[in-house]
Formats: sequence, C-alpha cells, structure tokens
Amino acid sequence: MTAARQQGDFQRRTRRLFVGILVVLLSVELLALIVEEYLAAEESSERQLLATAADAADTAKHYERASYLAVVALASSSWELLLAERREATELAERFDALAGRLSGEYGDVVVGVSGEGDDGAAAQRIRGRMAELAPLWQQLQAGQARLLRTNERELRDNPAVDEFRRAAGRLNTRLSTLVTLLENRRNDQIEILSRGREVVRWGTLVFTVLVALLAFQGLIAPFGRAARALQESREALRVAHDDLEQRVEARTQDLAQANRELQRQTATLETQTEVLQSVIDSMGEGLAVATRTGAVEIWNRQAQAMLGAQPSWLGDAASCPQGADTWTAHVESFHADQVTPIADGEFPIQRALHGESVDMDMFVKTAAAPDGIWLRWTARPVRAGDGDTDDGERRGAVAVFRDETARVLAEARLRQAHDELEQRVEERTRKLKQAQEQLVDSALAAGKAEVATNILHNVGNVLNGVNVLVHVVRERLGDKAWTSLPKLAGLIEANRADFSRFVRDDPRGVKLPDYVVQLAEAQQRELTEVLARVARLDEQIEHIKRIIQLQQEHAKSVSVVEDIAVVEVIHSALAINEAGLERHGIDITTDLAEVPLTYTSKNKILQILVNLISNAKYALADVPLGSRELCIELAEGPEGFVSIRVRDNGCGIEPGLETRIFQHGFSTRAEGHGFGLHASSLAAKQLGGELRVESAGVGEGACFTLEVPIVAASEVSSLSLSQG
Amino acid sequence: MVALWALVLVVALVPGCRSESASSASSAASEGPSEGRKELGARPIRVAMSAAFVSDSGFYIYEQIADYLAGEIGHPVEFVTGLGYQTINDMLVDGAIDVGFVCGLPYVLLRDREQPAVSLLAAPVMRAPRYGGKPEYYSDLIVRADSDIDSFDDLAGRVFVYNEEISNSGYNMPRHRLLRAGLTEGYFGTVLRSGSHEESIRMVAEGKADASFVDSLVLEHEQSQGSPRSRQVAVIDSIGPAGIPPVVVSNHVSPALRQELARELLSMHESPSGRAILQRAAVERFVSVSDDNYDSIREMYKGAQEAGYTRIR
Repeated sequence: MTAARQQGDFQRRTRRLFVGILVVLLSVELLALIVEEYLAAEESSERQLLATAADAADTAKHYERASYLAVVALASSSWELLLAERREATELAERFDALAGRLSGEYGDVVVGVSGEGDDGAAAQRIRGRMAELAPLWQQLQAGQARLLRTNERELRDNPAVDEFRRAAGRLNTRLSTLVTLLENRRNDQIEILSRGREVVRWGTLVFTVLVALLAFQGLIAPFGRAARALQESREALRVAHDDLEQRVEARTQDLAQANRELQRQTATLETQTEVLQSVIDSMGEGLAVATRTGAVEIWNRQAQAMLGAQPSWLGDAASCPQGADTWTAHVESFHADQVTPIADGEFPIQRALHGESVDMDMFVKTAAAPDGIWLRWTARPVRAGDGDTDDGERRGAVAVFRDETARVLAEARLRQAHDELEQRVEERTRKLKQAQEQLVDSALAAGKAEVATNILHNVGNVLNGVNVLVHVVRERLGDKAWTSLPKLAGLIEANRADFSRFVRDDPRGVKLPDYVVQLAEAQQRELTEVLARVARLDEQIEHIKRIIQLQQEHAKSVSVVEDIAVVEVIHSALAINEAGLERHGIDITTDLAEVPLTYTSKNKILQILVNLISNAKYALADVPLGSRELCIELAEGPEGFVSIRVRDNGCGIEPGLETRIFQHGFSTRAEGHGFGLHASSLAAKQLGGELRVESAGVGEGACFTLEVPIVAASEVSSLSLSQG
Repeated sequence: MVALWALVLVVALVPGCRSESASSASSAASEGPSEGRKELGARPIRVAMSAAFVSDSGFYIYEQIADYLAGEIGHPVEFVTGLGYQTINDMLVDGAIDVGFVCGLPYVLLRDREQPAVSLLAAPVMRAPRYGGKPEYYSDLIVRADSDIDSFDDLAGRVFVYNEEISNSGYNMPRHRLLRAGLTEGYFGTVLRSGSHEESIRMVAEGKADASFVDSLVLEHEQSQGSPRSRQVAVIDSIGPAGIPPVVVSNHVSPALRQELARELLSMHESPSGRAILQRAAVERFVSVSDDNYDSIREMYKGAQEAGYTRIR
C-alpha cells in the first residue's frame, strides 16, 4: 500500500511539474508579445510626434503666406481677397494652436521624455528647449499680423511692420525646422534602440526555453531513484508502527471495561437520587420546568402540568425536542399583562433564560382546564456550570418556577376599577359644585343690584312721606274758617244790596261788616302766605325725588360702562341718593375727601357699593340717640396704586369674629336683611380689582368699611375685565 | 475707437451687394424685407466690429448679438474683426462690409462724404447712471494709479499714447481740448500710437506711457471683467459727453433690409433672449438716433481741421 501511495505521489508531482513548465513557457511568450507591442506603440508615437511637428511647420508657413496675402490685399484695397486670406489665416492659427498644444502637451511630454529621466535626456532637453521657444515666437508672429492689418499705413515697401512680421515668421520657421530635425534624429535613435530590444527579446526567449527544459529533466528523472529508495524505507517503518498500535489497543480495551463497570454503579445511585428529587419536585406548590441547553424539557412537575393543562410532548425525550424557541409559544397560549398581546416567539421566560436572562414577569395564559385564563407569575433563571453564582460559567440550560397569581391580579384589578370610579365621581361632584358656585355668584350680583334698587325706592319713599304731610297741611289750611266765611259774607251783602247803606248804618251785623271784612282779608293773607310756603316746600321735595330718580337712571345706563371717573363725584351721588333717609334719621354727616387721580373703572359698581354702605350705616345708627348719630366718609390715595374710600359710623358695631362672615352670601345681622348687599359689594370690589373690608372694635363701638379701588389709566384697561360684572 | 464701447458691438448684416450698380441698389429699395434678403444669396451679412487686437474679451457678446440678429432675420452673419478704423470705413464705402459698429468720428467722416456712405441704424443706451439714459459716452484720462500726475496740466512733456488717429475719444476729443487750451506746439514729450484702447490701457498700466484718453465704455468693461491692468490705472479727468459709437449700415444695403435690421435692434430689449444679451453687455436697449447726435464730434473735428492742428504733438 505504501508503494502504491509513493507511486501516486510521483505521478502527481510529474503532472504538476509538466503543467508548471507549460505555464512558464506560455508566460514567457506572452511577455515577449507584450514587449513587442509596447515597442511598436513607442515607434508609432515617435512617428506621430514627428508628423505633428512637420504639420506645425507647414501650418506656420501657410499662415505666414495667408497673412502676407491679406496685407497685400489691404494695400491694394482688394477687400474680398483680404477677407478670404484673413479668414484662412485665422483657421490656420487655430490649427497651429492645436498642433502646438499636442506638441507641448502630455502626449509630447511622454514621447520626448520631457521629465528628463530617459537615458537620452540630452536630446529630450534640446527638443524641450525648441518647443519652449515656439509659444513666444508664435505670439510675436500673430501680434505682427494684427498690427499689419490694423494699421492705417498700407504701403508695403519700406514698411518696418512688414519687415518685422517677416522676421518673426522666419524665426518661427527656423525653430520648427530645427525641432523637426531633432525629432527625426530622435526617432531614428529610438527605432535603433527598439530594434535592439526586439533582438534581445527574441534571443532571451530562446535561452529561457532551453533553461526550462534542463530544469524539467532535473526535476523529473533524477528524483525517480530517490523516490524508490524512500518507498522501501517507508514500508518497514509502517510495519513497526502497526505492531505497536495493536498493543496499545489491547491495553485501552481493558481500561474501558473497568470504567464501564464503575459507570453502571454510579448510574444506579443517580437513578435513586433522581427518584427522590422527582418526589420533591412533584410535591412543590409551584410549577417547575427545567430545560437543557438545546431547549428540551427535562423536568416538568405535576403543578406545571396542572396549571398549563398539558405537558410538552417531548418531555424527557430530548431527541424529539423541536430545536429552537418557538416551541413554547406553540405549546402554551400565552399573553402579556394586557391579556391581548401574545407572547412572541423567543419571549417565553424559560426561553429568555436559555439566552442568559433572569426573568420575573406576569403572564396571562389560557389552557384547556382554564379557558378564561389564569395569571402566572414566572421566575426563570439560566443554569450555568460551576457554582452558579456568577455569569461566567458555561450555560447548561434554564429553570423556571411559576405560580398561579390569578386571585391577586383580579383583586388588584377590582381595586383599580373602584379607584377609577371614585376619581370620576369626585371629578363630577367637583364640576357640579363649581357650577353651583357660579350660579350663586350670579344670584348674589343680581340680589345686590336689587338691594340697591330697594334703597333707592326707600329714599324716594322717605321724600314722599314729606310730600304727603305737606299736602295734608295745605288741604287743612284751605279748609280753614277764613276761607269758608267769605261765601257767607257775599250772601249777606247780596241780601242787603237794595238798601246797603242803611244796612251798614243801622243793622247791627252791617255796622260790624267793615271791620269783619278787614279782619278776614288779613286772615286770608296770612293763610295764603303759609300755603304758598308749603307749596314751595312741596316743589323742593318733588325736585328731590326727580334728582334721586335721575341719578339712578344715569347710573343704571352706565352699567358695565368703564370710563375715567372722579371718585369724589360718585361719593356725592351716593350721599344725594341717601340724603332724605339720612336727614330723616337725624344723622350728622361729615366728609374728608382728598384729591385723587381719575381712574378708569366702573362708576356704577362703586356707586352700588357706596349706596349699600351708607344705607347699612343708617340702620347701624338706629339705636344711637338722636344728636349723636355720626357718619363720616373719607377719600384718600393709597396704598400705592389704589384709592381708599372709608365709610365710618359710630353705630352698633360688629361682633368680633364676624368681620369676614358679614361678606358671605345670605349673612345679615338685621332681621329684615337679605344678606345680599355686602356680599354683592364685596364681589363688585373684587371685579374692580380692589377689595372691601371692615374693621370694628366690637358691639357698640361703630364700624369702618374700607373700599380700595386700583388707579387704572385708560391705556391699561385691557388688563382688566371691569365690564364683565 | 470704434467700438468696444461696451463691448457690445456688433453685428451686422447686410444684404446686398456692393459690387452692384447704384441703380440696382435703388431698385431694391422698393422691395420688401424678404426681397432684400434675396439679394444676399449665399453670401453672409458682414458685420465689422472694431475689436482690439490685444483684447477680445468681449467677443462672445458680439457673437451672441450676431446670432440673435441672424436668427431673427433668418440669414447667416460673418464677423469681421481686427481691421483698422480706416480700413473698416473704406470697406463700408465700397460695400464689402454691410454693417459696422463704428466710432463716432469714423461715422461723421462716412456721413459727411459728398455721397454719404452709411446710414444710422441705432445706438446703444448704457445702463450705468453716468450716462443718464442717453446714447452718450465719455473720454476718460487715465494714468497709473501710483502716478504723480494729478491733472491734465501735469502732462506737459510726458509720454502720451493714443489708439487711432480717427478715434473720437482717443484722439478727436483730446485734440480739441489741446486746441482750446492753445497747447498746439508740442505739449507732450512723446506721442505713441497703440492701435486700440485696450493696448493704451496696458501701456499706461505697465509704465510704457504716462497717460492716455480712452473710451469710458472700454475702460468700464475692462474693470467689470476684473482685468488686472484696469486696476492699475486711475481716471483723473473726463471729456464729454459725446455721441456714443453707433451701429451703421452701408448705403449699398437695400432700404428694406436696413429697416428690418433697425427694427430688430430697436426691439431687442423686448424679447427675453435679446434682453439677456443686452444685460451681459451692460446695455439698456438700442434706440434710434439722428445725425445731430454727433454734431459735437463733427464740430470738434472741423475746428481742428480749420486750425490746421491735425496731429497731436
């Protein structure tokens, strides 16, 4: 067998060597072909460069000739010839520019070795020098032509511009001829070098082929004898190695038999321990699942089966376990805590533990035993080699413990629902309370206005009482004796008209008649004077009623109107409205009104507040003896940005502790009070951006109400909502 | 001085045939535009422009204007550049050139011949505020930016360079100024001829001359193109305004084609393509001008002739 292998090795080596030689020979031929092509391309480039230079030389000569003919045409005013020759000269100039570009451009650089690194650098330098001279000479020639054609001097003879043009052309032609010659020489040199190169390649290829043939002989024939000897030596060595191997196999077989016996003993012990462990596991209150690294379930206790309603079909049969992560979700219909989102493939706790995660999560599952579902609390951990306390060990599988938490979860859900319902009820209750409060505020405002109206009517009633008294007195006066005696007197005179002189002289009634008439006239004059005084008083009272009504009408019209007002005028209006009542109650009024700025606010609201405060003061003074009833109204600026109006009386005062309550809706210390007035006044003060408060030393000590109203300029009015009240 | 006024020069076209008799030309006058083009046959309309022989930086603009007119008229146009002012005048007289963008003085010389050789087609109005919306321009006196020359009075004995003898801004206007100042007896030290305004600017910038009067339009174009030499000179004085170089047509061209050419030039600013070309040339539009727009040039030239002061010295 060894000899056959050695023979096969030899044949393979022979084939490889043959193929190698063939590849080398082909490569050499291919290289020779590439070199030949390169040399041919070089030769072609040289020819093209030379042709370009020759073309440029011819073009320059044609340009010179066309330009000169144009100048001649200009001198002879032959315009068509001038235009034609100039057009040709322009085209030739463009052609020369293109040729010169090719000569001095990249193409020329490569061919002539302008980089100076070629082995014929001197020739390349000369060529580059000639090329560098072309551009300025060409520019001189063009400039000369332009001057000739633009000149107004058209004489050709003895024209220095013509001579200069011809000289420039001569210089350019000379340089171009020199360049052509240099390029021809270079081309010849290059051709000679290239020819030598071809010879070298040709002979080199032949020599190389011979060398390869020698190497092939040496590589194929000589090694054959050496291979045969080595083959024999290999056969002997193999035989020795075979005997040694037989002995080692026998010894190893005996060792394995001993190990097998020990293994059987350990297996029996392990089975006993496993039975004990299984009993423990089955007695657990939680479900237990243990999976191997491949995902096969090795342990699945009774609780697990009871809760999940089934057991994996591959339990205890790792070979039939479908590998991978999707087996658990297919086995158990499981959901996340929202009870809707299914557990995705690979997210099952024991699967995640297989990937090294420690998982604690709630899961909602539906089983055949519990079609409505149950809640399971899962705890899954990876099982690692080693002590299991670190994450460094090799993962061997995963263990998962899960218990039924349905009762707890449902209890929590019911508690949460009850909480939400309670929140909702509280919110609804709050909303209703807010609505009720808003309605209450509206009612209070309306009631406040009604109380003001009541005050107004009350004041009008006070005045009307005076009017009634006066009318009664006048009526009594007009029914007096003096007025009723006059018709009797007229009847007496009429009865004695026939002999009136005798009646006056002789009749006792007639004798008294003159004196009676005089006394009657005097008495009637007195009565008339008194009645007229009463009527004048009546006019005053009626005028007073008109003022009250007029003021109320004015303020009623200005409801919700915001304007620049003088507070002092509002105070006077409030006093005028209450004038009759105050006077009837014998109240002594004093005022201390300082000069304060105009403020942009609601006149009606301030009037409403003041009328209410004055009216309240009037009632508070009811129990104070006449002659001691005092009401003082003060107006001052301050605190900063506010004006303060104080209504102070020495009346019944306020019981301590009621300073705040008297502003509450429905609170009143008077039996006939509604509890609206001060509440509405307080609200109005707040709507004005101000405040109404009261101070009192106690019952019988009088009270002082203070209204503070902000001083607002008209330009700031947008920040207030005065018109909303 | 011709042209180059704004670099705009332009185009020309022409019809007709110069070698034909006067009678045939006059008969063409009664023909419509299409008949006028028929006269041209295969020969393109020849437009002469006085481009500088050194600087042709504005040439592409002339090409665009020529292409525009060729497209509007429906006949090819051939440019003729690089010839002297007098040569162009002679070719216009003979009808070898059909349309020319010529300087004001060459126009006056052509117009004041016993038989006027050309007619006015149009003249440009430049956008720059300096020209006030009129077909006018200036002759600017330039010196090197670092020169000690501050005014015309400092030029006595200095090297002066001009472009052409029949250039208005380069020769006629400065000659008139010398004549008016009585400086006719060799005011400059040396007087050189450059052949073009661009060359004059270059010679002053390089110190080969101390000063030169150049066409304001040429100088502004050089400056707008960022020409280094234009930044090396400064304007210290100006003469003018005078009539801007016009577009003229040889009287060998039939009246019908003359009218068509004039119409296209005068309406060029109304078409988007024409307006775009004019914007590149800094031209507002072409307007119709009358011969009296060049009376001031004419008077300056006659004054010099009558005084016998024809060559600046």
